[in-house]
Amino acid sequence: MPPILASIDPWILSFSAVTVIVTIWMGFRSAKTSKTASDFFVAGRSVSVGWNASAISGEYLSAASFMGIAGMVMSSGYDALWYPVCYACGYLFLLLFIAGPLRRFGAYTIPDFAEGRYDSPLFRKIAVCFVLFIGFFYTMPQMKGAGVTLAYIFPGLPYWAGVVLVGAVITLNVALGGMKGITLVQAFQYWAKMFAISVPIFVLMAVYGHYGKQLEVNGNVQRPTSNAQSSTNATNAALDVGSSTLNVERFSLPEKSKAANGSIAISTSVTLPVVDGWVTIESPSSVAQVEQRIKELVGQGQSWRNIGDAKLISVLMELSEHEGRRVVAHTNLDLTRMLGNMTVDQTNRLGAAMQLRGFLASKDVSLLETRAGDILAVQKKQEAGYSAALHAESTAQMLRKPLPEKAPKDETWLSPFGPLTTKAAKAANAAPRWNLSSQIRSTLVDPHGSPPPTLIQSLGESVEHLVEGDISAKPKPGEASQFVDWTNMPTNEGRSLPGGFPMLAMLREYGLLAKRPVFVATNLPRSKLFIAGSFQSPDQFLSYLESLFLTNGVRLDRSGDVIKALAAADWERYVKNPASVVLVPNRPFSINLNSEARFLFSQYAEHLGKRAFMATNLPVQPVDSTPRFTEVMLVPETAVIVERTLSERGITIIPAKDDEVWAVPTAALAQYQLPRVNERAMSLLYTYSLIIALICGTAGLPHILVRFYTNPDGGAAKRTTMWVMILIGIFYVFPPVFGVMGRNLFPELYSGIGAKGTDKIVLELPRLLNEKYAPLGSILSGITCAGAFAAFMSTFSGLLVSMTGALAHDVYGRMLRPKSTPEQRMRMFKFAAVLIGFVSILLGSLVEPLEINFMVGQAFAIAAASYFPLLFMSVWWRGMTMRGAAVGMLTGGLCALIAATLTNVSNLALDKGPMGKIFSGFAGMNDFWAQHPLLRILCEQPAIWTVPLAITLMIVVSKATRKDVPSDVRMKMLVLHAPEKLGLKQEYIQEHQGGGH
Amino acid sequence: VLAIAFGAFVGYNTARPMHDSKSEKKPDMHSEEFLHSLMRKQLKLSIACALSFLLVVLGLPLANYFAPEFMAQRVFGFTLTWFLLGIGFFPAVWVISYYFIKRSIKLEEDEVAEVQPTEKQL
Repeated sequence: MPPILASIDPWILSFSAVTVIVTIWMGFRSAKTSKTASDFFVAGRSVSVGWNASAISGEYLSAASFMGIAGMVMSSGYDALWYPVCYACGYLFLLLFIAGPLRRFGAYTIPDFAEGRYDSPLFRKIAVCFVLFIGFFYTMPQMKGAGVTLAYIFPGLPYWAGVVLVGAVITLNVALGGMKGITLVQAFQYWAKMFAISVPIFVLMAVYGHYGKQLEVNGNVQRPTSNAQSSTNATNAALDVGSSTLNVERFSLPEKSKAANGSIAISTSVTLPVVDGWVTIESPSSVAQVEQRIKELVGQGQSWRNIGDAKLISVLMELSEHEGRRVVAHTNLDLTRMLGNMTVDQTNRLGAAMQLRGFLASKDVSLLETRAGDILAVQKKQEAGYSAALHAESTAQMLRKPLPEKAPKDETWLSPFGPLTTKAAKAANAAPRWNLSSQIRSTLVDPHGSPPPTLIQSLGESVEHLVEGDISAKPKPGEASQFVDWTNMPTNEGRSLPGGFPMLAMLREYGLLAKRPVFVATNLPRSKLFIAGSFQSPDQFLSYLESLFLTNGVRLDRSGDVIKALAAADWERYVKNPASVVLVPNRPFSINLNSEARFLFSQYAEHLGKRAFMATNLPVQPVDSTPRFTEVMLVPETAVIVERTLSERGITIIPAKDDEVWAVPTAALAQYQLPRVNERAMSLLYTYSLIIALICGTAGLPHILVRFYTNPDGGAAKRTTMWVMILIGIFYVFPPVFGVMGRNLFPELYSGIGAKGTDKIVLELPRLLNEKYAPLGSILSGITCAGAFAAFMSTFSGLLVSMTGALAHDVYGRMLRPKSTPEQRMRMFKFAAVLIGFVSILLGSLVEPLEINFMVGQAFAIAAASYFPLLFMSVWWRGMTMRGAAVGMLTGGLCALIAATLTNVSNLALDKGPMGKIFSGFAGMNDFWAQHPLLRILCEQPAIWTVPLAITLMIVVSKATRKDVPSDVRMKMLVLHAPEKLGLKQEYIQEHQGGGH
Repeated sequence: VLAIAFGAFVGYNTARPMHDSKSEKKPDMHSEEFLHSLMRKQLKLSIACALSFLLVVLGLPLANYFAPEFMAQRVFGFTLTWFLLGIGFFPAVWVISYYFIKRSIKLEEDEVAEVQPTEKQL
C-alpha cells in the first residue's frame, strides 16, 4: 500500500473527494424536502426554465459525454465526432415529434404512456422490460468510467476494485433514499461538468495552441515544405547541380538515426559518410580543447591565423570546432571547392565563428539551425526551402510527440471513413476471402479419392513416408544448428528476438543441444516462441528452453533414450497409457518436389495436418522423372517450399478454412476468391446506421422524458428544450478538443489497454501542465476528475433509481405481489436497488476493454429500435393496436439487444487480458466477421435495419388486428395533439374515470 | 427518411377529410375534422423542420463520400468537414429548433383561437 499512497496526487484526490461528498450531501438534503414522486413533480413545476434546462442537461451528460467522446476522438478521429453531434441533435427529434404530445398526454414515463395509450396493464409490463435492458447497457459504460477514474486517482488499484467501490457507494446511497432526481442537484452537476471540461481546455489551449492549430499538425506537416518546394523548384531546375551524389528530395531534412548510405571523398585520405544526401562534419576536438589551445596560442602571443586557400570543408570544420557543434552539409555543396584567403581571430572562439559565418555567407553558403542544435549548411539558393522545412518540423515537433505504432495514421484519423467505421471491412480485406459456397465446393475433389481422413489418422499414416531410415537415429555429431545459434543470442538482457521461432524448430534445436532425438505429438501447439535474454552456456539455454516450452503448453518426457514432447493437456493421458499419444520423430524429412502434383499436394496437406481438396482441372504438366528431394522440417513455415514448387506448375494453394487447404489452377484463382469489400461504402453504411441509432435513441431514452413535466406549461417546456440543446451543444464542443490535444501531446495512451487506454485522456491530459506550471496541472486534473465523478455518479444514480423503480414498482408491486403493503414495497425497493447495483457492478467489471462511448451508443441503438418506434407511431398513427406496438417493440429491441451483445462478446474475446480468457469461447466469431463484414457492421450498428423492422412490424400487425384499436382513440389523439389550453386532458380523465368504474 | 415516408403516409390519410369540412365555419373540437387538421398541421411543421435537419445530417456523409478533397480543405486549421461537424452543426440545430418552437407556439395559439370563440357563443 505505501507505494500506492505515495503516488496519489493530493490535489486530484481532494477535488474528487469534495465532489463525491457534496453530491451525496446535496442528494440527501434535497431528498428530505421532497419525499414522494408527486412532491418531486409538483415541486419541479415551480422551477424556472434556466434551472430546469440545466437539470436536464446535467442528467443527460454521462461518463460517455465527459470521458468517452474525448477517448474515442483520440482513438478513432473524425468518425467519432458523430457521437457528440448526434447526442445533442437527438433532442431535436424528441422536440419535433414526441416531447409535445407526450407532455400533453401527461405520461411521466414510457411505461406510463404505453399503459395509457392502449389501456393495457399488460403492455406496461412488456414496456418495463426495456427500462431494464437499456438501463443495463447504459450502466456498463458508467461503471467503466468509474473504474478508469479510480485507477487513475489511485495508481496501482485494479480496474475492478474501482468499479466495485463506486458501484457500492452509489447503490447504498440510492437504497438509503438519497439521490432522487432532484432538479437542484442535477442543475448543479451540469455546471460542475461544464466548468470541469471547459476551464482545463482553455488553459491547455492557451499553453499548447488552440483547437484549429492542434488539428492542423495532423496530416499537414509536409505542407509548408511542399509550398516552398514549388516556389523554389524553378531555381533548382535552372541550377546545374552537376553532382551525381545529389539526393533527389531537395528539402528533406537530415535524419540522424539512419545508417550511412554512401560516402563522399574530400581528399585522397579523408572520406566522410553520407546519409540521405547529407554529410556530417564534426570537429575532432571538444570546446574545452579549443579553449585550451586558444589559451596556449594567446600565451605564445599569436592572435591571428590565416587559413590560407581554404576549401569549403576546412572552413566548415573550423566552424564546427569554434561553435562546438556538428555541421550537417548537403552533398550538393561542393565541399572541395576552394573559397580563397581568409584570416580569423584566434583569441576569441565565438568571434572567430562570426567571421567564419560571414565568410561562408559571402561564398553563397547559408547556415540554418536544426531543432537538434546542429548547423545545417545548404546552398544559398535553397535557403528558403530548407528554412520552411525546418520551421514546419519545429512547429510540428513542438505541438506533438511522435505517435506510437498502434495510433492510426494522420490521414485515416483526420478524414471521414476512418478506423472506427471501416474496421469490419478492413478486417475482411486484410486477407483474401475465399468463396466457400457449396457451388464452388462441388467442383473440388479429395486427392485421395476417398472421404478425407481425420486429422490424427492422416498424420498417423503420414509417419510412414515422413520417416526415412532409422527412426531412433541420433543427431550427427557435426550437425549444424539450423535455426538458432545460441552463441549469437542478443547480449542485451531482456530483448526479444524479432519474429519468433516455430515451436517444432525450437524443439529440434533443443534436441541438438541435448544430443538426443526428439519425438513430438501430432497435436502439439504450433505456436511461435519468442526468446528473451542472453545466455552464457548451452546448459543455460537448455533450461531456458525447457521453461519456455512449459509456459507454452508443452511438456517434455526426458525419461527414455529419446525426448518426447507432448501437449500439456495430454500429459495425464500419456502417463496412464503412453500409446494413446501419437508421436512422430521431429527431424527433417525429404520430399520429392518432382513428384506428381496430387501427391505433392496431399503430402503438403498432411504436413500441415489439414484436409486437402483440389480442383478437378488442375494443370497437368510433364513431371521430370529425376527425383528432386528437399529436406524440410515438419513445421508450417517450411511448407512454403511446396507452395512455391506447385505455383511454378501453375497451381495455387488456398488456405480456405482453418482445417482445409485447396489446390486450384492459378489461372482460375479469381473464381475462388470473393471480391474485395468496398471499405468506403461500408463505412458510409456504418455512419448512417450510427446516426439513426443516436438520433432516434435520444428520443427513446427512458429517463429523459420525465423532465418535460417539470415545467409550468407547454411553452416553457419548449423553451426548456431549446436551452437544453444550447447547453449540451456548447458542452459537446469541448470533449473532442481533449481528444485532438491528447493525440498530439499524450500519444502514449494509444499503447495502453483497458483502464490505461485513451478513455482516460480527459483526466490525464491537464497534468502535462505540471511540466511548466506546477501544481496547475494537478489542480486542473483534479477538476476534470471531479467532473468525471459528477458525470458517472449522476447518470448511474439516475439509472439506478429508474431501474429500481421499474423492478420494485412494476415487476414486484404489479406482477408478483399486487397486494403487497407499502412497507413491503419499500423493503423491496431497497432490495431491488442492491440487486441491480450488484448486477451493474458485475457487468461493469467485465467491460474494461470496450470503449465507454461505444457502449453508450449501443444503449441508444436498443432504445432507437424499441421505444422510439413505439412513441413515434403511437403519437402519430391512430391505427396502432397494442399487439402491433408490442410485436414491433419487442422484435426490434431484442434484435438490437442480441446484435449488440454478439458484438461485445466477440470484441471481448480479442482482449489480451483476463477478459480475453473468459470470453475466449467467442473468438471464432471474429473469423466469421472477417468473412462477412456486412453482417458485422449490421450487428455493430443495428439501427439501420432494426428501426425500420420495428416500424414495419407495427404497421403490419396493427393492420391485421385492426378491430383491437382502442375505442376512444380519437379522444386520445385529441389529448395528444390539441393545445393544453383547451383543457381536453381534464375532460379525458373525467370521462375515463367515469367509464372505467 | 423514415419520418418523410411516414409523413407522406399520414399526410395522405389525413388530407382527405379536409375537403369535406371546408364549408364548416366553427369546427367542433371533438370532431374528426378538427383532429385531422390539427395533426396534419403539426406533422407538416415537424416534418419540414426534420427535413431541413436530415438534409444536413445525411448530406454531410454524402459530401464526404463524393467530394473528399473539397471537404478536406483547411479552414482555420480544421478540415472543412471537421469544422462543420465539430462546431458548425450545433448552431444549425439551434436555428431549426428556434424556428420550430416559434411556429409551434403560434400554431397552438391559432388552434385555440379557432375553437374557443365558438365555445363562447355557446
